[in-house]
Amino acid sequence: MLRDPAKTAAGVPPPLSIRNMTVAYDRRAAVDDVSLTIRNGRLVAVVGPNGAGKSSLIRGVLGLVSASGTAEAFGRPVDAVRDRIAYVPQRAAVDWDFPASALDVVTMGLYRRAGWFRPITRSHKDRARAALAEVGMADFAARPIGALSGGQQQRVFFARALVQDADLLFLDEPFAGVDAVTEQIVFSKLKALRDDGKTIIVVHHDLDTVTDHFDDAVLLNKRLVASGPVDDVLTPDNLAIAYGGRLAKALAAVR
Amino acid sequence: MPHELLAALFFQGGYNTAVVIIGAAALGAAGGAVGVFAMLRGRALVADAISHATLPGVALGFMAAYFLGYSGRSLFVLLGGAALSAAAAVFSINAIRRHTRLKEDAAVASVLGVFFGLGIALLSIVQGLPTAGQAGLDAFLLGSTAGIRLIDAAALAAAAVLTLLSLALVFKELRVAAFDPVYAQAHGLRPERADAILLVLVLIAVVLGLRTVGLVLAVALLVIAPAAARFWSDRLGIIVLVAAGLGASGAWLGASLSAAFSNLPAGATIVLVLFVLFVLSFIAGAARGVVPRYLRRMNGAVAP
Repeated sequence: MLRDPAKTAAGVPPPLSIRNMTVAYDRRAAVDDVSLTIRNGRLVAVVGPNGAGKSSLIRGVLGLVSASGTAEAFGRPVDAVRDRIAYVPQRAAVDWDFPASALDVVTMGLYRRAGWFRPITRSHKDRARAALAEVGMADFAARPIGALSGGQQQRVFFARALVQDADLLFLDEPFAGVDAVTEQIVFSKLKALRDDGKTIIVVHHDLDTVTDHFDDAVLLNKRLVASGPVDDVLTPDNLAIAYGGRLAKALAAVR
Repeated sequence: MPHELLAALFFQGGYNTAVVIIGAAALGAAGGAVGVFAMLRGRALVADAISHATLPGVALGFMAAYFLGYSGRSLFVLLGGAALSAAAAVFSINAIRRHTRLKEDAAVASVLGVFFGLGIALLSIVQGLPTAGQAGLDAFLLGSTAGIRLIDAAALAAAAVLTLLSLALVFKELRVAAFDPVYAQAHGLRPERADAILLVLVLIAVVLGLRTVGLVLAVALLVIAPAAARFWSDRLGIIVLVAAGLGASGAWLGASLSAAFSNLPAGATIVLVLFVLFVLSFIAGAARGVVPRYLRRMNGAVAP
């Protein structure tokens, strides 16, 4: 009998397995027939040129845009395991004038656990405060979210994902336009989570830092170019396929 | 006249008037509180379409009651019709949005115009019926505190209080759907359900306010008090309470004025009082008002 390729050697289903995923906007494909499997307990960078469909792939997996193909997390449809998945969207997507404090935003990560029609309790708020403290934002709990700097806002959204205590985390461009302190705090938390056995998938725009921080990489240019350990993926040949010849040579030289 | 206003304000203008005014205050509170979420979710225009789309239902409700032999004066037959045609308008808006590439505001404005036009046409037919004169259908256009039966006013007030309680139950679901719908969907919080609940609450608030405020100005009840409340706080819970309080005071004052000066239409009076409250909030609102902000800057505090 053929072994299911989605199963790892131990027979445990992988944290994420994507089969033939295509995402199209107005009949133009942003993600074209991508299949891949993410290994457990890895810090994974999704990289590729602008317009390569990195964010669209994540949104397709999470069912935020209509997509064909399937995505399974821990061997089950994503919709059935949303309580084990956390998502940090791109920062620009919300209404910054909304009347919400940093603590309010983090507490939203516990709404699902609290359940419909049920109020947020003191212990929920305590957990949210603890998550804010973990990202160095304890003193900003009462601040309106719109009054924080870009990096501080990003840390608040990251804390909202932390408080969910998820096993699989998606972060969409978390380091775009943030300060060095935020970048350092988020990376060290991501590594700690990875060491705890969580799987983290990060849409990342900065090829230079992939080798330093990530275990695995997914290289995308609408189609999948390569996926696996960083050093196997970011080869000059693969980069040439993803980015086109000349740019790839320049990138390889930098590395 | 001043003593008549004072009498109305302090519920001395007769038992009936007192109940109607208390009922109006309850509606104002419900409209203000629901309106905060409608405003934050960008649904103000949809609320306007809902209120205008009640007119065909009011007219059809009256016709149905007339031909079935009722007097056509039963308020709840008319409000039932209003709710049904408003719901039909919401479905039309959603269908247009799903099946065409029209922008939402175009879909909403088209549906508003068509339903209101249909309502005006039906109203002209109704006006030809023998009992139409006493039905007080004009009150549904511009609002009136006159001629509301005691039991109806009490029922409206009770329904408004129930609306406020339901809002409290779904507070956090509405909050996350309005603030970050993409995250809510990814986290499995079903923001589309929260949106549907919000539309139902908006529809209920509008329909309950129809007789007192009138359908042309019903949306003002849902928008002005929340917009004014935004000047007072950066905390959602407090904004909702302030909006409910401002809505209640505006409706109470406006309905009292309308009861005391019998040719003032209630809807217009309530909206004008709410506007005065808005201007006061704009000037003095603790969080974003002009004067407190100026004072903070003078004291060298960092603007939040």
